[in-house]
Amino acid sequence: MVKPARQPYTGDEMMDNVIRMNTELMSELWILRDRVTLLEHLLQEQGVISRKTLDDMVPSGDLAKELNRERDSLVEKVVGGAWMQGYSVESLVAKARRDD
Amino acid sequence: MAQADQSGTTNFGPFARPSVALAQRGRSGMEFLGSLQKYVAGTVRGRARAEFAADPDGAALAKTWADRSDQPWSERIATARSIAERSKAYRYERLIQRYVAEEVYIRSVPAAELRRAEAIAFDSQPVAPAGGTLELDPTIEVPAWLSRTEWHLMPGGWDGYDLMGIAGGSGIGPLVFRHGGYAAVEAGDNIAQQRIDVVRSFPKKSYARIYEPGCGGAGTMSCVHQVFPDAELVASDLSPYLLKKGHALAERLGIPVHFKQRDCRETREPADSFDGVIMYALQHEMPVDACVDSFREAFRILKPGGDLVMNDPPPFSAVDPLQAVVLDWDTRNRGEPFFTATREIDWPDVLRDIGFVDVAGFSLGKFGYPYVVRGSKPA
Repeated sequence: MVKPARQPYTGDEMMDNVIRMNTELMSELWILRDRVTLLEHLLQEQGVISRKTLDDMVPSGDLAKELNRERDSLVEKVVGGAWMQGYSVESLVAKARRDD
Repeated sequence: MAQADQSGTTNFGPFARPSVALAQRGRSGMEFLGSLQKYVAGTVRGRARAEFAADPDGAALAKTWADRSDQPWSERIATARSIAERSKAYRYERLIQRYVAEEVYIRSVPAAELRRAEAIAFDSQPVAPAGGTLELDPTIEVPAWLSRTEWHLMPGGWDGYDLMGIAGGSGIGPLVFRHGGYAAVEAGDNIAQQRIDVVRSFPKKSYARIYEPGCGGAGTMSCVHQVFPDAELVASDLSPYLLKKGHALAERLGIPVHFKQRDCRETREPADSFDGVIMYALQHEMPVDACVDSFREAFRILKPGGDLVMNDPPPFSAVDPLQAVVLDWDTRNRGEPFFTATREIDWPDVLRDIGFVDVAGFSLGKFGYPYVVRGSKPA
């Protein structure tokens, strides 16, 4: 079977790849948002929990700690990845303890 | 059984009707592609178009584009492409066009596979016979240029996957192309209405018998039936899969169509036996000599005074330079090996050479598509 090869559409194959990754992440984000919206709709429709309850909820205690930890970890992974110069057993173990 | 909303149909290509709804990941992933395609084909390409027009070289080229020229189209389009590629918007838009063209299959095939049981159940539902027929010919010779091509980047080609009807009819058509267009079809175009408008290009108010070579399913014939409900309909194609799906859909819709596995260059129909012939998006999927032969065959089977209506992407001469670059791009990037060669031809001239009279070629849409060529066999 014949299929035309990909071209470097931006003029730079690596740039094409980065845009493809970015687009794939945007797609995954949408698929998750779609699913969360469905979940919220069904939970409210079946009387389990309302969207207003979700909107009004202020995380506290262990839940707030969990969210803080996950958020910090995400920022570090996404933004910090570009500046990460190296790693060691100690830094990786320390990271594991932070994430735990 | 998961059942799709039948009102959301698109009549896009051979996969004309959704029959089984996709699961959440498949559905939302395809819907994302629809939004992405809509944005790049509309907004981003619009930016590229404006940049092309603002470029002095682009503006100069546009002024003489429609003039007859001895310079080969390949050279003229190469010049236009070099101007278009100065635009980052153009480059990004083309990258995403390729991305979506791949992803529609990468996502819809697994999504269809997850619905295999539902698809089998849907196909086995009893349907009141509409009176149509299906005639397959396992001995028919399929040209290599047809069987070896992964059309539109479709894995395996037209007959490569038994649930491609679900992938297309429940995914690609209604969730992506309906919003974002495809190739010559612009974002936001009403592709179902386009098909009706093309059928209405037939010059007479009624037809007794209408033939469609290269039908690809029941999409066009369902529109022909809508416009000419009393016409007897005969449709042919080389793909057994598309013929089977077309027959099943036509019966389900209550439209009697006689489907036959035939080569459009040799239909085996008697001479002077049809009042109308319609060809929809067929020429760009064949070499030029096969297109010419298909017109000769249409001329042969038409009764004296009968009419031919064909629709295909417009010739390069009927669009602006950037649109010509966009059309040409499909040849090397989206599994359309004959797109460029068949856009270089002004088909009205070919029809006149064959013997058609009252020949006309005209665009129905803003950027040249649909492009209708119409002619009649002398009475």
